[in-house]
Amino acid sequence: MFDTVIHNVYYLSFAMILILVLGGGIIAVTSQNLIYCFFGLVASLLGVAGLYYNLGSPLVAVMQIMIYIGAVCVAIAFGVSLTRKAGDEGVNPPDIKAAIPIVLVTAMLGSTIKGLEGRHIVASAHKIDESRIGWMLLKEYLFPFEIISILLTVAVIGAVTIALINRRI
Amino acid sequence: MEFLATLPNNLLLYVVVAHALFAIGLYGMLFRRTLIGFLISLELLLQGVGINIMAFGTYLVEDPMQARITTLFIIGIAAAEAAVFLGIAVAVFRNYQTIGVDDLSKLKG
Repeated sequence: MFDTVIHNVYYLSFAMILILVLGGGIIAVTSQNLIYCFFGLVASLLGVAGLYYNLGSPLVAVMQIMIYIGAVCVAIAFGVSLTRKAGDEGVNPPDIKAAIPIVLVTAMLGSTIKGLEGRHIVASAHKIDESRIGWMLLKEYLFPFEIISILLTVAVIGAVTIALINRRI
Repeated sequence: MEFLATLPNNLLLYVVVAHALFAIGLYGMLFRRTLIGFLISLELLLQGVGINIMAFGTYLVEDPMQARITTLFIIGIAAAEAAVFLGIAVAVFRNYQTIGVDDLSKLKG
């Protein structure tokens, strides 16, 4: 009895995560107001963190929330408030171009599923010891790890420089 | 019902969700009117890629650590890219007083 309740809550939460991901994405793309878009993006990122957690990786889920919602979304909020102008935002009405993503992604999905045919599922989403990530980052992935830090420094300094130069092009 | 019960642990579900997110992001890239809207759509595209990598690395490979590290790198690079994009958007807004992509046609000829 208690077991089925737990299971039902689990499936309900998973359905809510899926709704959060796809519904948030649709709001982020189709809403006329950029603030609503921003909150749709936050909802979608939160749902993606839930998917990562379901795939057995709490570390990546926490990183997703910290970096995306904590840093990138705050930066986007500043960007929205710094560059807002009435009558400028919104979406163009859908026309024949809307077929491009549908056709392209359907083809991608078909080829992906066809490519999966010969593969066997060798593992399942279970929680494992994630402390190995730290060792791997400091051993075989040391060089990309350092390059990422240099890239972040250069990107942030470059962004500040671009945004602060006050001259007419 | 049996199929529904295994759905949260099914590779195909994650692949379909990732592709749906990718399609949504692509739609936004085509129909948004401002640079900030482009950035929001771009983040959705990258989320689709990340879900795909995590799902494949979890179910098809013995050791899931490599997929997790790749996803962490994708998150880091996306943060750098968002910073550069916002800097460019602010600079464009200062110089042209708009970030509507249809108005930025100075080089159009």
